[in-house]
Amino acid sequence: MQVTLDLIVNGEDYRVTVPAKALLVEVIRDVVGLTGTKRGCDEGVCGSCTVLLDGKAVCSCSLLAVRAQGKQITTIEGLAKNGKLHPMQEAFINFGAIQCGYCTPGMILASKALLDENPKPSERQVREGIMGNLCRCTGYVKIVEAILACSQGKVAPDA
Amino acid sequence: MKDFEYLQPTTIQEACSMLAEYGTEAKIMAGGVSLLTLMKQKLVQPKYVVSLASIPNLDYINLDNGGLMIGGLTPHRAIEKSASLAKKWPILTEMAGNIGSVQVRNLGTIGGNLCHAEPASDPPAVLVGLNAAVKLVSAGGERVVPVEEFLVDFYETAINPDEILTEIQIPEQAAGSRGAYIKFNPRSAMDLPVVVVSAFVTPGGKKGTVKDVRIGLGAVSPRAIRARRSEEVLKSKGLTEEAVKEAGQLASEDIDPISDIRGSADYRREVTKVLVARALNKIK
Repeated sequence: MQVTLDLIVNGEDYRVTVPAKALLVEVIRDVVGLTGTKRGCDEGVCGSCTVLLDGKAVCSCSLLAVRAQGKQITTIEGLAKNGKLHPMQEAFINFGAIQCGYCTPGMILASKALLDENPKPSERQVREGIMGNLCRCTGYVKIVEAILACSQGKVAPDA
Repeated sequence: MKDFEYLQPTTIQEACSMLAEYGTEAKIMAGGVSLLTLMKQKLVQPKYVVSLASIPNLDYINLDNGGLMIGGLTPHRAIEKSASLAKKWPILTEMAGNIGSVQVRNLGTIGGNLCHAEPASDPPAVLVGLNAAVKLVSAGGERVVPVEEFLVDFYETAINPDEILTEIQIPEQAAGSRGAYIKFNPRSAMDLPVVVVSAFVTPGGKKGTVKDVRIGLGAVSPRAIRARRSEEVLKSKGLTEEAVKEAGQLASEDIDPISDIRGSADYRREVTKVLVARALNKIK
């Protein structure tokens, strides 16, 4: 069964015709063409496919695209505005929270959603908030530092 | 995944008549997290997916008359974040917050969790301990089934193909009741539980006596169960150190755990014995 969907991705409207079984991650990457969102485990465990749906972090592999109609979908490409990086992106770069980069789009979106809901989290709350995003490279140390710094309005380590 | 017809009923009645028409060829999609996993693995290949997402008034938390009613389509995240639940039913806050990750909890629903009937899951053990029931609605009417009866076997419930779980009902707990809940998952934060213990005690008139006790055990049997022999011991002997130990021992005998990468059956028995006692000691 084919469905025609009106999707709002990063504030822009897309009308796509896809099979009903198309996952949101497939439509974002293969139809809309935004490949920042990664496909990892395909089971909703690794978080590399994380996008924001009306501001809430979800795994786009665990959602049919048809379910995302009428909602604001935010991908990693939607964070920078007019060429200026989002503070969370700046912080990740400046703290060295990126190594291979595969977890990064999902991790940054999950981190942004975390601070949007809880602007001054404790370290434990940060770690719990990114529980759904696996990173095989960094050991999470710099990621947690970057998020905590961002929550204090800083995007770089103190000189 | 195989192709399917995606249906979006806007009322419960519409959904029920679709389910009645398509029977076992249809599957209900609530949050869709567990269902999509099964469909991707081709364990379940419905011709029709009946989405509940367009039906209003299935996502709610009502604290009325001391009891609690939660809509079947309420996401775990809503239960986790509810301020009124945190005040009156903190065990449910903790239970919901222990499920998966934020991403999973934003999509997954409590009704979907119960209908999926994954044995290694927290809500069944807690809801069984709380004496909860579920409301099942079909074109022919509705019925209320205790969660303990609703859960039949692993991935199997008492729901009929034409029914929808619309509500979870938790009765008012007796005055003076105290509860504890322990999720044991030693590997990583997001892992499935290895053992889940919930315990709810209503103290008796005399100190140390027990008027009523319910112990829910999850992840250690094909479905969440009550540790009834343990409960009898505590009711007759009270919360003494000896009775608590015996309760743990009996619970470890009354379960039917599997061996898998998270632990052997023996390990699960041992941990159950320890955690039942620990939960009861938390309440003492």
